[in-house]
Amino acid sequence: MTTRLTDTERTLLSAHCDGELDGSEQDVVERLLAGSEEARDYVRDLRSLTEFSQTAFPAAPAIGAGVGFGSKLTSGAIQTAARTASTSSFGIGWGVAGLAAAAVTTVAVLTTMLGGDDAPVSSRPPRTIASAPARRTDVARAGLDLSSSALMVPAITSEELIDFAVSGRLPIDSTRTCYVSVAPRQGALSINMHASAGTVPTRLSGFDLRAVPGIDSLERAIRTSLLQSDDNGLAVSFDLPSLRLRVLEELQEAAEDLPAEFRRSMDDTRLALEREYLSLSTELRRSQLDARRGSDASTRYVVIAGSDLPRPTAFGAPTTFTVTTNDRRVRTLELTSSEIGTLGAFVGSALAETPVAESPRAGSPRATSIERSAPVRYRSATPAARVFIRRHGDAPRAAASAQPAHPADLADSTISFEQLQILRERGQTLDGIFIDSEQLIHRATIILQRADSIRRHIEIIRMQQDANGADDGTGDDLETPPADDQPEAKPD
Amino acid sequence: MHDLSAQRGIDRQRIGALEDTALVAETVSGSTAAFDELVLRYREKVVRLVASVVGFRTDIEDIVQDIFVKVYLSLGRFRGDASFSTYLYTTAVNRCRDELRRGKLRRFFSFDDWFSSDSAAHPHSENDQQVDADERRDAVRAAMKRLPPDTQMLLYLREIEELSYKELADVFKVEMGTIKSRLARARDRLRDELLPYMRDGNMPGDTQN
Repeated sequence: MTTRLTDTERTLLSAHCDGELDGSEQDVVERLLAGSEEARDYVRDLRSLTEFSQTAFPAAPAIGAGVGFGSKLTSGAIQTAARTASTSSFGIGWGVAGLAAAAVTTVAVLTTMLGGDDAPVSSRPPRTIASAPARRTDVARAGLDLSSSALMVPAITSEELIDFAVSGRLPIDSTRTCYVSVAPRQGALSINMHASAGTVPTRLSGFDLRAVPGIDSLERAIRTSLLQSDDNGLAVSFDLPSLRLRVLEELQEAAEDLPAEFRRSMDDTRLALEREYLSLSTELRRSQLDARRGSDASTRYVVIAGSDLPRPTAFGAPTTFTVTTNDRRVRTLELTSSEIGTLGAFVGSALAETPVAESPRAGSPRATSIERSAPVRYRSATPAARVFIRRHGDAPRAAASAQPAHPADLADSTISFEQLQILRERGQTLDGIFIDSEQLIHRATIILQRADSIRRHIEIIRMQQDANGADDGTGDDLETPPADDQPEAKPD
Repeated sequence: MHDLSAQRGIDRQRIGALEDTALVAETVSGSTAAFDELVLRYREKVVRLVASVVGFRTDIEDIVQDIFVKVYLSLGRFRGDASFSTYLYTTAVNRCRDELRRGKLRRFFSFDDWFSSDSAAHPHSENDQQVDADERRDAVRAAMKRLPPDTQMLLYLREIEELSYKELADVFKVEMGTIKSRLARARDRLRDELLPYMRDGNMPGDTQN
């Protein structure tokens, strides 16, 4: 919408609506209004706009003294916090204050983890303002399972899960302040921290491709990176088998650059690279075979889904999580947002097929672990998040949950990535996803095809070098996969 | 005991009738009841101002408490050149800017939370009037989303809290002329965004081409 009024005129008319003109300006505006239909329209528009905006602004939530929202906004809480802040700022050195802040934060975290959020508000000490760093949100704490070395599983929506399953990216959520990605960069596998979607990532740490990390060390590195970050709201979720394949793929992509490196590298480096390639090839082949046999961790899948999974910030009420394994053991947890980090340990131990502790965190009144033929519905009325762990060859079995199964959930074992992608493009979402072994084999096949391509490339380079009389320095021939192991080609 | 509670009631009445400046003076002299009154008068306004930029995040109480704590600690230096509300809003605006600067905002502008929480209080409007109100909120939200945070705060303080240009100039530490032109520009943008909706029902951001 354009107007022929000048900037100055519009500014004067705007101030006129607010009654903020001085005498001379008022004269100017009155002359303008008398002579210009457009100016009159403009003023009318502004007035209706103001009225429109005012009625559209919602009210703030009611602030109840002492309970619920606003408990920190009582005069007493503010003055207590002010006294603490004042003491911390002037009475203690910064170093000591920092330690105190860390202690306060630690206590706060522990308090929350041990059910502190359920404690009566009045019994909680007021938060120190000046000395304590910004409080991490419950979600942030929930997203990091500090006690487990197995897996981190925060709250995750079904959309995120689909996105992750389809694209392999770690979940990105506008309500989270940062996320982590893993990608090859400049010859290394880089772990990056993104402040928000679309921003330039900060490289946190990296692995040299010459020391290809195992998935465990990679996970540890990610965890360490997250813990070292002082940003908050972080949430990362992955299931180990998928992430494993994804990382392998990325390594493979990075390895495609190896032939170019051969041309430039010294002999010893080239040898190392060739070994690297062989190691990678072997790893890829093993993945494919594991997927076929259904006997490796890469054929077990963890799915956390729910058609109406609550957003992280809505995790006020306890939520039921179930873990189903192929041996029909079902474990059910009921967790609040502050306890949700324990889910990581729970799923992680199930993945590793180690016995699950009777209670993931001793002393937690909500957490319980049972073995039954069917999951038990706890008193939670919130939608359940379901965790499926399945082996290749098992009949798909959806864990019963606190809500009826979605039709798509029942059929999900036959859904391919391509189908998922189509559903996604149509704006449809699914309750649950199984990343089935067929799909896994398909992905592994593609990886192996790429590996073969690289191998051929390297052989060509070597032949060229031999033809030029250059010594390749290795004397070894690259291994060719046995014919039996050649993948069944699938269309890309 | 009865005398004591009666005395408290009288005190509360007296304090409730005091101007902000007098309350500040009593707070500085050590009256907790005076500061209580100041908090009661302004906390909801500050919550709304902060929420207009950061949304109703889980830590909004912490942010608002932080603002009041800063004001409380610096009341001794408050000379009364400007009104207490201006002083408080200045602190609040600076705190919101800090919040933005630190990059701790999940979204620069999260009226989403605000509006969604408001909608939650009036779910699934049954009657036309409420549907209109819901739509209107959506339209304003969409339009406000496109404005920079400072402009959002400026509009909020002018349109809702009805601060004068002089007070706004004090809060944002700029000349009155600057406030005048910034408000005009902001309204121009809002007008461009909202008028199509007000006239034809086109939501802001809808492609018109």
